[in-house]
Amino acid sequence: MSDDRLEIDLDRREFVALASTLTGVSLAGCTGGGDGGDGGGDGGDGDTSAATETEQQVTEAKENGQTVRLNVGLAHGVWNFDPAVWTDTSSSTVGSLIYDEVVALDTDEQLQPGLIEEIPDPIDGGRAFEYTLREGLTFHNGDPVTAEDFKYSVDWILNPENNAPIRSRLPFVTDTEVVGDRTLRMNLEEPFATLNWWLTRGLEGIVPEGSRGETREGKGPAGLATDLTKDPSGAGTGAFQFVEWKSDSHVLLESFDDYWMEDAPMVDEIRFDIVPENSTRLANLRSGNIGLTNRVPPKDVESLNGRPNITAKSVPGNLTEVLYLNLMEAEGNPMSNVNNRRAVLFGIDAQEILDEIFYGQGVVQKGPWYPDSEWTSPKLKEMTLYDPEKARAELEKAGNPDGFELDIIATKGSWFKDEAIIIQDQLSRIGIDVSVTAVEKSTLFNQVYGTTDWHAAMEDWGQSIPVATYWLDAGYADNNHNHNNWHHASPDLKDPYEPSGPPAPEDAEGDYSNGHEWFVAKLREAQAATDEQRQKEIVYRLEEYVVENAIQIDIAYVNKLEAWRNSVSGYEIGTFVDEYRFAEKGE
Amino acid sequence: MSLARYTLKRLLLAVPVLLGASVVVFGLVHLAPGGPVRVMLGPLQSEELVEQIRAELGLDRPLYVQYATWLFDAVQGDLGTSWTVQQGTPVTTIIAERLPLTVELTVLSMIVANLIAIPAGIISAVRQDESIDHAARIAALSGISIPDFWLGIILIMIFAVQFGFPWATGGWTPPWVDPVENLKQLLLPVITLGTAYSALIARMMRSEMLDTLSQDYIRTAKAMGIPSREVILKDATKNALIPVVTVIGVGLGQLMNGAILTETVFSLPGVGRLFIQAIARRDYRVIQALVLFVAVVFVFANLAVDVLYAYLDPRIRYEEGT
Repeated sequence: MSDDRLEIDLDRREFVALASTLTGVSLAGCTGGGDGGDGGGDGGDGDTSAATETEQQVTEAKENGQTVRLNVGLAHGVWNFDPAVWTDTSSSTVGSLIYDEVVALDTDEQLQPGLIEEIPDPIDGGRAFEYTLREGLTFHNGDPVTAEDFKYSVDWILNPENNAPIRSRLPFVTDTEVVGDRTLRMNLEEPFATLNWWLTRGLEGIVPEGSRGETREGKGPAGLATDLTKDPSGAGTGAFQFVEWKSDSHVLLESFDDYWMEDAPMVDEIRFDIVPENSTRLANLRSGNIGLTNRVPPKDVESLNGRPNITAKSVPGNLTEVLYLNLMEAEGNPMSNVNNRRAVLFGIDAQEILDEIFYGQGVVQKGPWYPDSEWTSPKLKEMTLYDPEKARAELEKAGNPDGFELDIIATKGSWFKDEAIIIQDQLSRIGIDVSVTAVEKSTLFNQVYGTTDWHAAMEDWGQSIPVATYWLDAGYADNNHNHNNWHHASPDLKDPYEPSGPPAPEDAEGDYSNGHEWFVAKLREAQAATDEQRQKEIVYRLEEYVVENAIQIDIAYVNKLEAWRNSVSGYEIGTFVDEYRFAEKGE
Repeated sequence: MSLARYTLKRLLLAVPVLLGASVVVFGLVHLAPGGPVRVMLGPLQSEELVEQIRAELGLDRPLYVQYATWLFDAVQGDLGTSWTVQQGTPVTTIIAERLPLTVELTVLSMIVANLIAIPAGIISAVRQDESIDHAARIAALSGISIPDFWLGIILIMIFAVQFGFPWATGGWTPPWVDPVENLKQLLLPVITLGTAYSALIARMMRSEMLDTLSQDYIRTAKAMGIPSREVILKDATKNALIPVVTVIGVGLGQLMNGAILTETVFSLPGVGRLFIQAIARRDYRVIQALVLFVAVVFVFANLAVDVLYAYLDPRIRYEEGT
């Protein structure tokens, strides 16, 4: 051994001892327990005792003047605080606490009056609705909410110059009139009996007159941002008022003392932390940094429920996994052939996809709508869609007994590619050779909604309004813009689109150029009908038609998975709506 | 050539480098499929509206016209406003808000990593083939091999979930608000980001030290009776550091890249995460500004390394034409 070594007067044992001591000292100095244990078990009675204990803790905290804050972990960032401009779920989740809907949806998917006194029925043969505001409503800035504010909020959306992305959620509304102290009339160009349902997402807030500012004056790209986009201070009527937003970090709201609803909100502050990484978000929940989180990965539900301080819940969700199909005739596009499409429909085992990717957390679809719903055709409920023999028979009919080549594009970064790969495997068993290409979401959108050069696309769709006619409309009806390039001849049909898809049903009454024209006409009839039974009959027929002709492949509705610590109580999770206003947080 | 002239020359040469980088990125970003308009509007909007918005944003003009417009504004300090990440907010404001975190994370990682790596490399070289050398080499190899995002998640699991430390899951309190909380929150991200970098520096330092220690002048110094500690720390280390300084400088850019994953895992709202969002949401203005920023950092980091080189080794002088 060389004598030139540097002499350090510390042997290995001493070094380890010193390092351990220093580590221990530094960790002791940094110790601050998280939520620690919540105490109590998690059984049925444990839930009740935990909730009671939470109420006691909340009461004590309030008596002591402590601020009770609920921390919520969100998987995606918030982009916009203007209810007329936001199009994403996170912005809507946070925004729903700053504003109130005119017509609200509760966690049981029932309509409730939001800012209005009662849900109105259509008048004037279904061509108008009149909405009367509650008395005594105030904005967060203290100003009273008036019918003029109501009119401004709706007119801004209707004004084509504003390019409001949610304009399509107020279908057939042409103009508004103030007809009373607190009453606004909405006039429609044609009868539309389900307008109230559409307003739950079409009018998510009333804002003060003029509060959006001059949007064409360089406020954001092409005027798509308003004065409320980044700072809605004072403009809401909701249970919480805006305090601060740090992009990609958090949104902080504080309770509004003059909120019109009694006994709400139950916490002083609510903070939404943006934590996109699943592992980190769940670690935050486990450590107590956050009390509640959405978007729990399916694989983690069971393990979370195994922890004593955490409850994970899986409820029917509003996200449908869909394989869009391009119906337009184009060279090399096999999906323009109905038999090829039916082969794909019968060749996909949706249950396998649900089990493999979503751990069984969801329900296989038998058409566009929820399979257990009264709005799903009884005939479809009886069908078994997965049938490889039927698939092979369809290939014979198509003149492709040996199959064909199919390209599926899928969005990167989520489970779409995995779903497409399973479909690739399933269809290979019946001779369909599938290639899967993963692309960015914006690339997929551009290709599917801007070109005719694609075969099939794997994506999902979040149902925001719990009526079957909404999905039939949003997904299929627009002649220039739907998921499947399904069009009918019309003066307003633009390039590069051409009429496509199967013919109208043989029993169709009337003269229709093709199935899409028939579909749209019947859909409008259903939307105008005030008789629910008549609506259902039409909806059933439309659903049967889209399935029989495999216009698109609806795979499964996946469950909504959320988790919270037992220190949180009063929070309600629904398919379309989550209720934060009554959430309480103890120690 | 004097160092001052050399520095000036390098600064002037930086201009075409930055121009070249901006052209390449501009082209790549605009030619890639997808675009910001559908991100802004959502999927089910009419093609008419999409084209109208594209025209209003100038995206229907020839690429060279768009680039020239951007360049003209950029040299005046106007990098445009964000389209999709933070609609309507000037890009410079967005970057300025996020920059302190990334700078703090990167600099702290660099300092901590070097404070560990350089002594570790020296000790490892001096105690070559002893157990401490083996341990250090294994640790260095592990540090280079472990993916930083995995390390980050494991650290979160241990410190946040197992031990319940609330600061261990990330987040960022500015140091001017609460310096203690700030350092606690950055502890694990710094370890995550600095580990691979530290391992690389340690290995490099060991290698250079071994080479230097075998030089004749070291033997001569010891033979002259100069204490070993002084020979090692003053003579050998200083010379061994010269090539290591290059790696340290280049490593700054690597740290900034690594910050992307670290910021994602620890939910830190820094420039790295901004990069990811801007790419996913096709915010061309933010992407171009960030690439320009990173290019500037690389250019100045390399320049600083070269200047430091000349300071550390008087033999190094930059000739005309270098």
